[in-house]
Amino acid sequence: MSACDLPSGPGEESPGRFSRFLASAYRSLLFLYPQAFRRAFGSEMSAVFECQLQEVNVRPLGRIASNAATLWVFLAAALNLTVTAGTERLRSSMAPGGIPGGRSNPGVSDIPDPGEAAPASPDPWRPRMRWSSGGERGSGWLRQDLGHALRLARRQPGFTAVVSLTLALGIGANTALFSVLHGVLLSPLPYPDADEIVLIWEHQTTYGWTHNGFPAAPVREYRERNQAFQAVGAFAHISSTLTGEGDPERLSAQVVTHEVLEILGAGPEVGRLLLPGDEIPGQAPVVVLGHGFWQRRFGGDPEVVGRQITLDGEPVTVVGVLNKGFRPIQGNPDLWAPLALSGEAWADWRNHFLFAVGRLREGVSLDQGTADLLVLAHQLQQENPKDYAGALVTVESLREATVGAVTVPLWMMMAAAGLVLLIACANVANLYLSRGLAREREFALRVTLGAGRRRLLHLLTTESLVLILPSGLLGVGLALAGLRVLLALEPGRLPRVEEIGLHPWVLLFSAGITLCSSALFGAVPAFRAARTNLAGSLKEAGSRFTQSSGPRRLKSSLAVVQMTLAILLLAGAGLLTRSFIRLQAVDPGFRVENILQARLSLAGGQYREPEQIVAFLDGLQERLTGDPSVSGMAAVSSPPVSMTPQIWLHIEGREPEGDQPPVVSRVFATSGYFDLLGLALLEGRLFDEGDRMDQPRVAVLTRSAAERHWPGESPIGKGIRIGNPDSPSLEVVGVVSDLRQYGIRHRPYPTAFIPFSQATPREFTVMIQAPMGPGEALGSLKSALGELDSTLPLYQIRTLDEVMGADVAEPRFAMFLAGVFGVAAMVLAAVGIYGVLAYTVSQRTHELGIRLALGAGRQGILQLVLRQGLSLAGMSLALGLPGAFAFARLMDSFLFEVGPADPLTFALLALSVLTVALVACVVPAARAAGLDPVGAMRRE
Amino acid sequence: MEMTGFDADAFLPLSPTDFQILLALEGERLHGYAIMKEVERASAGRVRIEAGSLYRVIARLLASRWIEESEPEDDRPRPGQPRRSYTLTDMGRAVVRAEATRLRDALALARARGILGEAGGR
Repeated sequence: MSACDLPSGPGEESPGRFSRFLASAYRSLLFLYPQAFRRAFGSEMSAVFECQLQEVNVRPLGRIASNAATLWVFLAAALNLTVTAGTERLRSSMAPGGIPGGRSNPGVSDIPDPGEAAPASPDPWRPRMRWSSGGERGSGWLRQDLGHALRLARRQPGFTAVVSLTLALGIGANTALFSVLHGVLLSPLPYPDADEIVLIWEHQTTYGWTHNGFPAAPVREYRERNQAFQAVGAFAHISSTLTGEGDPERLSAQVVTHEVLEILGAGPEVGRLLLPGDEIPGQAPVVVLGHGFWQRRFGGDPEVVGRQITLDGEPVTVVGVLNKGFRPIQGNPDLWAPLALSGEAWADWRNHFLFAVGRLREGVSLDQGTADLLVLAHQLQQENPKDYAGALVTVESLREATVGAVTVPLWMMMAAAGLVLLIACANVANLYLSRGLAREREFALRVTLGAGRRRLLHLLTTESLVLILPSGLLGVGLALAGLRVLLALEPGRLPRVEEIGLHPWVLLFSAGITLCSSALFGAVPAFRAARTNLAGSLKEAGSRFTQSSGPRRLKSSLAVVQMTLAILLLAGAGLLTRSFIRLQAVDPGFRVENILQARLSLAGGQYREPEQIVAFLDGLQERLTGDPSVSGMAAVSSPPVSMTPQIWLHIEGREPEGDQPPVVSRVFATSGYFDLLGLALLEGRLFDEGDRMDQPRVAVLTRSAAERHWPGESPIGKGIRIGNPDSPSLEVVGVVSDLRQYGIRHRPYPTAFIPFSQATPREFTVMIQAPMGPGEALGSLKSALGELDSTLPLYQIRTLDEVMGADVAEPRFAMFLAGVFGVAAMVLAAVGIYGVLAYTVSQRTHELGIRLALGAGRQGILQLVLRQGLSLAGMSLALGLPGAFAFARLMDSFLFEVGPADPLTFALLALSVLTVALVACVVPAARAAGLDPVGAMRRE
Repeated sequence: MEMTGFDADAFLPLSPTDFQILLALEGERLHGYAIMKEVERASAGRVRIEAGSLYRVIARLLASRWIEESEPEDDRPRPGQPRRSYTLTDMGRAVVRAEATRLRDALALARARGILGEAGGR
């Protein structure tokens, strides 16, 4: 039997993370009760709740169904708790006295025993009455006030709608962003003891590369000689073509040492994971499949274990499948293969292709781990001065490596959403204040008739609850819709997207901000009301002439605060927009229109010799020539805006200036590439038919490469070596115009083009000039490819336009979000200013009437109101612009060729604030100027 | 306890929740969770009490001296389990009986008026 006297069940002994979380959430909710009640019953209640959870867990349900049932139990219990806590607080505040907690509560002894009291008194103390009197009074109030509040809400549909919608927007924006923040940043990473896991990179100080890959040799040294790590594993990214079963498919894979999966806490769904023995070269090759790939390609068939599949033309045995919950780091590979390097390969110091992941020993901090590896790095430098000059390490926690890049932007977006909520709250507070002032007489009357402050507070809180609780619900609904839009527009750079959702913490957060808003709007006007000078209010009711300026000043300050916050947001949006416009205007240096690109890999058995690859490309070219949908074709190792290797450049007859030679981007391209992209020939010649394997090796440089290394002279005819100093010498034969190889945001990098026919990489991108559109061209390419070799998959099929669009997707997304927030804030702030002016005009109707009657021009009245509105805007600008300037400096790294103090942006900002303020003034000003003096004076 | 002069009828009618909880404790010594389960079982799932409501009622019934805490049978610590159990006091028993009697009389009256039909169905 279990602790709760439930029948034993399968899930009983392990309450699960979710249940533990809910139990602790429930325990925190207990703080809603008055202290005495909590002391008496809190631990009992949480024990009961845990029993309820256990009851769900012993039921034979699936994981999702069980979680849903658990959540349901929590919601029911939490709702009940909140309501009873409220009632209990009400009761305890109105009927002060001991909470009977059984023997433990000394207060009980003060209560007379009804059994003894009964005979003595004709009117025996009735315990139930005592207990429920408070409760019934409270629920009586509740019923009364609820009815009143509902009637009020119905009677003022405009007020109700504006308040509910404004708040729903604020709550919705915050809930949506908080759920992103929670899923991505706040929830724990899905690995056991994730804090101990770090990623390790080479830090190449000569070039300032902090996140470089390692050659195999230093990884071996770090792995064997470190003191601070339980384990260090190495991995590399590869891709592989699967053939033999259905359509050929290009797969992404990680080759890993066995430690990698162990460090990440992976387990097998079926079969086994990788073992150290798999890494011995010459073993029969094995792979482990990812869960998603296994489901997609093999329908989740467990029989796949032990079967052979064909990867790059070679048979490979499947030994296992990773479990479903496993989240890979760095990409989303379809399969994992052992990193089987020979002793010779492990001794290599040149080929930077490995990444490392480590698990720190228990109690070892990130800094200690880093220091340990840095000491080793210095030792390695001394031991291998030639191979390892300038190389240190960068150690990053897995969390930092996973979400570090989005941490600041996400918190900034959260801050923006928070500002929108503040503005919304200020708006609602303003509306409430207006109504509260209008109802001063009503409150005064209530107080006169005997309502206490608590009674008024109760009334106003109920009123605001009636308005705000539906706003909260609506807000959560909006958040759900908003999240969907947000994630659809998000450019795919956000890590851990699968963790984003309306998690219980998120709902708690929304409930929290909803309740805080409601308490705020209920309480503030109520305290004002409670302070009301009774006689004054009732007397004053006859005349608005003597209205004090206090409330108006409060309302004006609120409007100024709103507008100031809106200016901050709008400044951010403005700068991002300016920067995006600048970005769009940048010339990438190459033609973008009507170009289709697709990647191909010839890693099969029949393309071992370079001649075979050249023959393949010639065959493809031949089949596409004369096709009306293809007006040009080229092959390139790294198309624009892609990962392009940067490689040592040795100039013949010249010693490198520092420890290390300079680097260039290296691109293999066919002769048609320059024409296709519209790169201009500045000097010399392009590649031609004669540049074959058996001919002298040549290279074409970009202008920036030529200018950097041969300033003031021509590089034509000079000899260079790319990569190792002993690689074949290349003659520079031409110079072409620059291109932004790494994307529009990065300056053109010195680049060396090498003819495809003299290098022949096995994996490359085919680029096609498609005058009739990409669809037609793709059809032609596919049929030509089918004739040549039907086992080759085409992948990463895209137009160059799409590639360029994706390149600026992040700034576009940032601009979009900031724009939505900024405009929303400005609209709300405009409503705020309108509210103040409309209120002022209505309060001053009598005075304005007198002014008009005494001969004041209508134009003067108009100016009076406009001046007030513009002075509000002016004050906001005086406060907001310096603030916005400070705020903008935080965003400097998100801006492109726009300074944080961009004068145009700020000038436009000031102009738009004044315009918006003016628009907000127009209606109240016109109403003031159009007053009928006699009617105005007769009113009230 | 001597019950002279204690007029159980003065507390009627009981709220359905109070009545269910008192009924559950008739002849039993139950902790909070067991009370919840018993009420649910006895009402065939029609009445469910959440912990918050339950302990508010328990607090009230304790103050009224209709129920009391009973000593646990042993001092074995049982982590994560409600520790306190409750039993009816004589007063509580009197009240729950009075309520049952009232309900019975009401039922008899309803039957006599033919509201429930011959078979006494629902």
